[in-house]
Amino acid sequence: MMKVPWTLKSHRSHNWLPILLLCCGQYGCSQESTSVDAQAETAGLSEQRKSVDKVENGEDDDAPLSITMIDGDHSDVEVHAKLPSGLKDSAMEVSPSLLKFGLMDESGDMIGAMGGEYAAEGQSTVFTPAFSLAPGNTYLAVLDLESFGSGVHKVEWNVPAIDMEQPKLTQIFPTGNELPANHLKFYLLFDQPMRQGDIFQFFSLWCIDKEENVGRPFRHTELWSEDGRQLTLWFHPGRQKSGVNLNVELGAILEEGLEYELRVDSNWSSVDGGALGETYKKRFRAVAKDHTQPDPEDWHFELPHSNSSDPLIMRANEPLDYALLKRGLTVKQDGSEVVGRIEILAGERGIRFQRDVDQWSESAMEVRINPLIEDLAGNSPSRPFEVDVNEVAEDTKKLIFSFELPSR
Amino acid sequence: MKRLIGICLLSAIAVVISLTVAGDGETVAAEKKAKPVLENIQSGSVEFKRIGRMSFGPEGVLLVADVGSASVVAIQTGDSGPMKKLSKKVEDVDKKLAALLGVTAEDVQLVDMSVNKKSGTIYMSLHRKSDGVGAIATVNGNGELALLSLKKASYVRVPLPVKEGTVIRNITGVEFTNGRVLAAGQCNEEFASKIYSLPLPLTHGKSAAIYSTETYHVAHGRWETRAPIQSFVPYVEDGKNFIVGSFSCTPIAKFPIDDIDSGAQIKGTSVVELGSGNRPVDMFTYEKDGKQWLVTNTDRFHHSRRPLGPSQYWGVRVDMSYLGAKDINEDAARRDVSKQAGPDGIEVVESLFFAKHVAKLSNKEMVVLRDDEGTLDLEIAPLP
Repeated sequence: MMKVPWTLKSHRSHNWLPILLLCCGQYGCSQESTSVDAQAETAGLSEQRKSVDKVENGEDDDAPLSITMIDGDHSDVEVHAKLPSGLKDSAMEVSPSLLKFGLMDESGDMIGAMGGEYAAEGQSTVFTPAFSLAPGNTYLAVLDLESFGSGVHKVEWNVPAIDMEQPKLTQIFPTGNELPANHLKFYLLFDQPMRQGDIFQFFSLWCIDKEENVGRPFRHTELWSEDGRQLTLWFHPGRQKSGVNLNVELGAILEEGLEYELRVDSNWSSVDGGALGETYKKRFRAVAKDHTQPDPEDWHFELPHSNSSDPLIMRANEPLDYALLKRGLTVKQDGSEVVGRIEILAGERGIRFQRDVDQWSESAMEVRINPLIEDLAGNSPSRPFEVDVNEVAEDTKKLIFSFELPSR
Repeated sequence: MKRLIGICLLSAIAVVISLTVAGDGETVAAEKKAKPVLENIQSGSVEFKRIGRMSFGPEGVLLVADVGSASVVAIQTGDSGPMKKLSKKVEDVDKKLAALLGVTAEDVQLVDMSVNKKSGTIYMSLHRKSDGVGAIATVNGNGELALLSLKKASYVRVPLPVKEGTVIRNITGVEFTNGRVLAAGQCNEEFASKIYSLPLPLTHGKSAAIYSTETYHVAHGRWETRAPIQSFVPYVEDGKNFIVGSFSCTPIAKFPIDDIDSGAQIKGTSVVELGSGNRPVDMFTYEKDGKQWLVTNTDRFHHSRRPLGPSQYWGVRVDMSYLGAKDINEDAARRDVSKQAGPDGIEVVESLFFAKHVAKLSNKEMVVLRDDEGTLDLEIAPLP
């Protein structure tokens, strides 16, 4: 377990003090604040908590500034400000320009005011930040009443960090250790949602044979699954396609015969803030480019028996794209699509289709291959990756197959 | 009972509107018959699963792409002027925006920038990395930053159409145009390039009337590509509607979008090639001395290997008469990468060096978000 910032939405309870201090510093503060501060300095932790609770509970009518949690979550707070005794009777309200709340920097200053809403509530002005506070940070509320002769009041608020599960990169597809020199994309699977935005600093491609990084190999477009656990990482297609200007000017990313490592940096964090903690590497050798369309007629189908719930197994003659394999085929029998689940065979070399309910009948089975299914170089049964659509007619391979099922 | 006494959020004011679609001025003709822009308007909180590109439309409607939910959100901002453009440079705006969100600049991704040409108010879509929360910030004429209220918004959300088993992975642009909203993006793991056409009025929750097209373009000599449109503007030529899109590396291509059926494939025509190693970011058009210009800024990702100028961020303007050129695809005009200008009508724009985002304010000025040694400054710059 590692020490990383606390999750924003966590409702874990903590026994220690959320509010650190009420201070007045060089400005000279109100008498009420001074007394609380003095208690904090002299009476130790329990006394601090007592003082803070007193303010939080609103029992101290004269405390000019306090912060309270919403629903017991340190990340969701309200800031309460009121004019101190002697001033509140003047009917002046605390304006947004007098009350600010924001992230505190290491020197104890506010880096800037957070956005949020100000509302009047009884004798107080209540500021509610528009966003949850980030764990592991200290925030500062400042009530500037200097122009009223009542000093500048400050309250710090700590959002505790908590122990987080270290995220893991559980799988990199393709799983094989030989990839065509015109390979296109990787799929990275994580055990928890990863932090998105500006992620490409965390990826590199190391050429083992040349002992150097390959310059700018990736397309900088973040392509995430909805749950944030799967990233599609593309090599730049402009360098992987023959004759494309980048390919001509800079050369292909991979050279046939050389060994490479795809590296994912240890500092990349999950949404919750935990870093990977180790550099993940996928080692592979670049082999000959693949410009050949996958042809399902060259694949092998292991048919289920009629009157059984055996799986249908499709074995391709090469590794195929992991994500596209997951919707690589549909099956019909007796005029209806068979509902079932697709499992991907080892090495992404095929599909195991298991029907959900009932058994295969004695009727013929129709298997439809998704024309979009691709090999590792982006060639599909409907067209090669590199094709001039103006000059070359697309060569669509046979996609629909009918099988009589064997009986036992 | 709380009583609002002050607010640092721009309230999205609910206004039922009926208006003509003006789109982006010069390239978009106004419709003769008034059409409502939004219908079945919702009131309440807007949340983004992953906030994306934006553009400002007529009558204070802000279009925002929500990549995470594959939808387009149209927010009534109530921002209809008067014009008060940014009067001074805002330095370190990235740090100030981060402070507004309660985090440091490293924890915020500035996704996109747009400007309301009626008011001069600048809008920025922001992604807070630590929790994935999306936000929209504004910068007014005085350079003051605020948040657009997403908790009390008036809005419609329109899902982009997908077939069963398909998923939209990226939305690279969203724009009002002649009687509709256009969006560009990528679908599924094969990342087929898509253009979505959303008829007006945008109606909350209604996607049945929306149709989509898959696009091909011939970008690099003889080779086909499925690269997505990175940035686009609507374009009208001889009364026909087109999308003019730019792609990585950086061909500019136009796609006809009239009379297309849902699911149809349309092929783009490359008309200008700006050079390799660039990723287009923003695009707009403007008019000067009776001539139409197309402006695009790009991120030159091979800057360190082959620098074009002082920064990896640079921009160019292109005489829009190139869009009607007879020489296309393999014969399309190519920028002379060894010079600041050339051939005629293709010019590097000096004021766009270091520009990470750019948005048109008028035919004379643009808003530039400029890289300043790792921090970002926001300013108004003259158009050439």
